[in-house]
Amino acid sequence: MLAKAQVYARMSPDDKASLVSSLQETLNEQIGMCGDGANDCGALKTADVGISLSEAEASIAAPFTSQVQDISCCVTMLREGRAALTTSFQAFKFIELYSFIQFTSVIMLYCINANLTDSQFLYIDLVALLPLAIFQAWTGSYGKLTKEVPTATLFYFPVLVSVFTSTFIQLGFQLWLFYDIRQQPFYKPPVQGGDSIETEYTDSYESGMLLQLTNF
Amino acid sequence: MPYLISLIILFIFDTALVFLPDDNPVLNFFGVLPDADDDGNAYYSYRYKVYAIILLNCTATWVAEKLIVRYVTSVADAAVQKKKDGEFDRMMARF
Repeated sequence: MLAKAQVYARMSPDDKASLVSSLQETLNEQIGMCGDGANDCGALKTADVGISLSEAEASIAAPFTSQVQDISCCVTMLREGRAALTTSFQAFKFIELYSFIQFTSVIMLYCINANLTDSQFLYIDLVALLPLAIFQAWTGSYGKLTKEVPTATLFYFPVLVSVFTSTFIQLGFQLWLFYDIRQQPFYKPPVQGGDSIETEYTDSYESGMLLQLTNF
Repeated sequence: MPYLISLIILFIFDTALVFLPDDNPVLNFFGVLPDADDDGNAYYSYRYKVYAIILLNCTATWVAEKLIVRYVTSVADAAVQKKKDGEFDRMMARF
């Protein structure tokens, strides 16, 4: 009955809390509850996501309170929740990809005794990281509720496939340009550092090329 | 929309970094060496090749995300849903 029924009527406060609890156990899903009175307190507290339509008693039990006294707040709640989830996952993918890409660039440059210079790291921080971090956090939720639901698990196979596919594509293009620049008539190999352990790296064609490619 | 602004900023700056003239101080500051040999011959056309490779890289990443990852996601989601449905059917049969 729990799986099929859509309307329940004449329920006491205990019945409401019991229904939410049963739905959680039976369907094994995250259950939301939206209510406007003191008789909803138990159910609001039991639910995974509780939205109170009242600023009085029920708002104490519910983590969310809506100023609008109708259930349109549920749609807003879902939109914002999905946006927050998607943004956090995108941030994870972005940081993971950024690390992988920089790792492969630096390893390639180390092989020829070169590295990205301080000014190149500065460029990456100022032009790529700063605007993306600001504007990604600033972006709001999508205007309407769609059928597609974002994944709820970070270590989900498609998320990892996405990260590793992009990494391998990047690696392929980095290798392509890394070797292509060395075939050019204007190419000069990087100046080798001294015997000091803390070598000061100078500009090289490879580092400039990888900066241009990986930032895009 | 704000996210698009960051992409536009990236696009403008990164395109400028490829196509700015050799003697531009910004290029020198960011360590992008001039594409001219010791005899003074400039190979500016090489930048078009570099830019084409960069755009190809962007396109390949975008296509992979849209095709491969979307396909893998749909298959994985269907498998998870099937597992959930199976568990639910078993529970209903038990009741």
